[in-house]
Amino acid sequence: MLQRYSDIYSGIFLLLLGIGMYLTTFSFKELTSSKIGPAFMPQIISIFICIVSVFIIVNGFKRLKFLNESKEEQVEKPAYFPVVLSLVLMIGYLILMPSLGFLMTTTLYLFFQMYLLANKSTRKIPVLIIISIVSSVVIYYIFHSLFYVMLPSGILG
Amino acid sequence: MKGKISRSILIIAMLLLSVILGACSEKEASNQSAGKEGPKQTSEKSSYPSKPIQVIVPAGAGGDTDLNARLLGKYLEKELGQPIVISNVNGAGGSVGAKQVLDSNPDGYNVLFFHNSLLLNKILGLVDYSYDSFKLAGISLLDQGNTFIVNSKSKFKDLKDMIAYAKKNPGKVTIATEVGGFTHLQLKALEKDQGIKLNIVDVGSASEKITALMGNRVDIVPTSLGLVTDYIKSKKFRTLGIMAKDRVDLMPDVPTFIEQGANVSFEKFFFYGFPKETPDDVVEKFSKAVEKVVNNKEYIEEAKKSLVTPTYMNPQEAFDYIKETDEYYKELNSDQ
Amino acid sequence: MLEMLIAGFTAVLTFKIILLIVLGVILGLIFGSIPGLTATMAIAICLPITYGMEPAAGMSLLMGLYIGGVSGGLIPAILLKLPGTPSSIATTFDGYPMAQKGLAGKAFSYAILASFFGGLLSIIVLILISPPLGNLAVQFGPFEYFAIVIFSLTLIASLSGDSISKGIMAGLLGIGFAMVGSAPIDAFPRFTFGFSSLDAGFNLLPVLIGLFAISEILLTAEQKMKTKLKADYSNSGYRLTIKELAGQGWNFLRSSLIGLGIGILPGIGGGTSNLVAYAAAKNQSKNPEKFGTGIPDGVVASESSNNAAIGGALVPLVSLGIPGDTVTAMLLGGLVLHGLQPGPMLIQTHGDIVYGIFAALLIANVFMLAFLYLGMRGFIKLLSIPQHILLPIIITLCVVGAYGVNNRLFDVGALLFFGVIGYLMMKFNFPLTPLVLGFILGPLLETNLRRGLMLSQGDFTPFLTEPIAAAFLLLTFFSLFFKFWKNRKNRKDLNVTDHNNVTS
Repeated sequence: MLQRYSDIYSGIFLLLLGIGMYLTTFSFKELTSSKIGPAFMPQIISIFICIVSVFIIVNGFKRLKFLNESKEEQVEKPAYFPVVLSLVLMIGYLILMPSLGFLMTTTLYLFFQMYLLANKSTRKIPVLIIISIVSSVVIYYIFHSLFYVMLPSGILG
Repeated sequence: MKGKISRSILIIAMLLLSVILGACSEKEASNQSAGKEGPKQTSEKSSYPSKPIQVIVPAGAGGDTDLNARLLGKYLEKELGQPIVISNVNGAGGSVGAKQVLDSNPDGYNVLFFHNSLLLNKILGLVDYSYDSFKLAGISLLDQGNTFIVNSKSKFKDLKDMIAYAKKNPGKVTIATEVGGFTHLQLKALEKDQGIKLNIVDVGSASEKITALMGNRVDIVPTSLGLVTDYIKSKKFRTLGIMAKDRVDLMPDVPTFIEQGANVSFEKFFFYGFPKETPDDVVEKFSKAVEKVVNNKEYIEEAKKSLVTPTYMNPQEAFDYIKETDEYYKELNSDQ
Repeated sequence: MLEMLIAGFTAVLTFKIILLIVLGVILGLIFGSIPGLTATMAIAICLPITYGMEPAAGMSLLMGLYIGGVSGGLIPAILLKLPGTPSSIATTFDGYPMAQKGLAGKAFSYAILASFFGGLLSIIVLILISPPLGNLAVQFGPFEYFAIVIFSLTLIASLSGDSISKGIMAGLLGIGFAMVGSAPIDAFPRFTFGFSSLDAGFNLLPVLIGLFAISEILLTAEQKMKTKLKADYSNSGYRLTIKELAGQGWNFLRSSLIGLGIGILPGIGGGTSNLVAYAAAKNQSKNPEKFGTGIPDGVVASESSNNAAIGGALVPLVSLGIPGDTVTAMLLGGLVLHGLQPGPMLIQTHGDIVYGIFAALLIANVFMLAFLYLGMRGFIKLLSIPQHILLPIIITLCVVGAYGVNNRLFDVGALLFFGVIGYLMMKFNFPLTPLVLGFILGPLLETNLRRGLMLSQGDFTPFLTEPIAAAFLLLTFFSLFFKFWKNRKNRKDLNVTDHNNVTS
């Protein structure tokens, strides 16, 4: 279902985005006395976004008509659960990094992400644990100790 | 159905691992906190620095702030016995990097290296912190070579020429700057002092200013003499003078603005600043190391090449000096 | 000239310096090939190491890193559809489809040779005529830049995929995202909604890597239940026939010149050159519909232009002391720290070192070719690492790379944010490339418009009357007109299928 109306939905969203963007520009102040200020470009771009989004919506309706005439699409529904879970993992990774440090959060993230992506046949937990630990230690060592990229060391620091 | 089973296995595994790691981390944390509050506090005094120190340069790699930081860092490393890591945190006129230091852990391993623009960002209302939000570790060097340069084919032989022309033709002299930057303030001061009107245009960073002057898009570029010595030697550009109070030993032939009748003087200063809560003894140790570097003959010799004057001011002197400067800038900016 | 070059070669042909170049190229290739890590980062990390060396040695190492860093991006672009660096975005368009067809070996051969010859051509130009070219480059002011940016933005139409309106929308969104943060010139914070960490805006690297790499892992997560069809890489040949190579002659030359030209202009940078060259190759091709399905022309255009941009970017640095991008800015810093004052006199006062740099570039280019050729089979083997292991490790490296941009976690957050944007855009069939192009070019457009108006004191006419600017605007007009006319003609030819194409 989402597939069929996708253009209409995205077009409407972008239209709202364009309008919101345009309204935001009214709070921009001129700090210098030149011909055009900081609001000029954003206004132009937001107007264009609105215009193009209307095109997308119109095309979406045309396509809908076209699809109604033709046969129903057979699209296999993708599994969204792992996508959301991956995102949660990444966000958790980011949030915990300052307190737990790069090394620990990376190990945790790698393990769970690998576990999530693996098929049942390839899901060998001990192997994944070893790979997670080894690769995060290697990455941390190379960048933190060799190249002095100041990765968050967290509670280990 | 199989999906459900694997999911429950996954959840169990997650729980198990987080419990194990959680236990580990708690142990680590308690060790750490015990160390921090207990005997470590005392040992920290003598042991600082025990790991690399991150110097945050709120400007891009390759600019003069970056180069000065790197050169100082090279010598500081020898004094402190730990690597000095220069991290460029670029953006928003330096306020991103400055903010990052303010928000960082005040353990002495995060320090800001910056110049006058810190004051300007506050004065222009872009940020709400300034030099007094930091615990200063002192000033390490001054750049007294703030100059105006022109193309060698320019009709202006010296500053007097330029001012005379600008008085007759208001808004006709095109002069490059970076709006809101240090050079912008210099131009405002000159306009105010001489009662002239210049066509001030933004062309961007120091190297973009040089490009604009080469392409004859602007008449004058205010910049730092150390950045353009090669262009002056090759007779592409000429200097109209420097904005120092007196002539500077590094460049004895260059007249000052004051000599030429314009009462405008500016010095660019470079300082180190720690977050406010950093222990005093740590800041003091760092400051002492800076002092040693600034008095190091080898360092002075190297710094000479970029026409900057290594000058050490201790935290108190630095604070007073910057405060005075800040008041002058505020005054310049108030009646534009 | 020649004796200077020979002197340059003798200066760098010592065991130690050759070793440094080799190390530089290898490290550069590694950084370039890992998504999230770039040549810029490699040079930033190694700059302090060069302090202790004499200038020729230090600069040789940096040159090796530069060439390796730009070239390494082709590996993940072809194998994983992940641009390792901004300069290899366009390589993914045809390189990856080629690999999926079982032609990974050929795609590598084309890409490596194009990189080598593109680099070689630009280094030769750099050695022979950099002073006049540098002087030409400084003539380009805000009016000229504005026109060039407008011209480049219209290329979005060629990079849009099926639906032009969606491509334009993606480009507009890119320009919009680039507006977050301090406005050019007066630094007024826009669209920051009070978050001070947004003041500096988004950095290109997290945007790019987020859009392409993070979104990819989300897509993989979605499909993991299904057994993924894996292309067979084992039986692919590497050899190219003379005929195949000769067929790319004009494409190679045009793309290299585009890369060179964009490289020379300070401020535009190699990130755009590959896209512009790809679009130009597609527009001039007799069968543009084949682009994106895995034809060598796309790979050659992208890879020759990005390496040609190296020599280009060094032209203003060497001849005038003006850095064109972040990499050359750091090289300039390296020169200063070694006590060399960059500027128009550099070639005269320190000719030995400048020619040493030229020699190092030529040598590094050869080593790049050799290592990529030798490593080719190995890279393909990397794919035998299961995706569920490889991708999370890549994500971690992306996180390190994003963090390393400004040493703050905000950029990692931006990485994830753009990952979600990229995923949603793919789900809703929006092309990603125009967003990147808009993101790079948007700020240039606005900055130069505003600077131009300051320079002309509010007068718009110089944008149309300055000769170079006018020429580019005319070119823009004609290319759009031509495209429109061609589209109409096509539309008449096929009606129903077109309906499907335009709207889907």
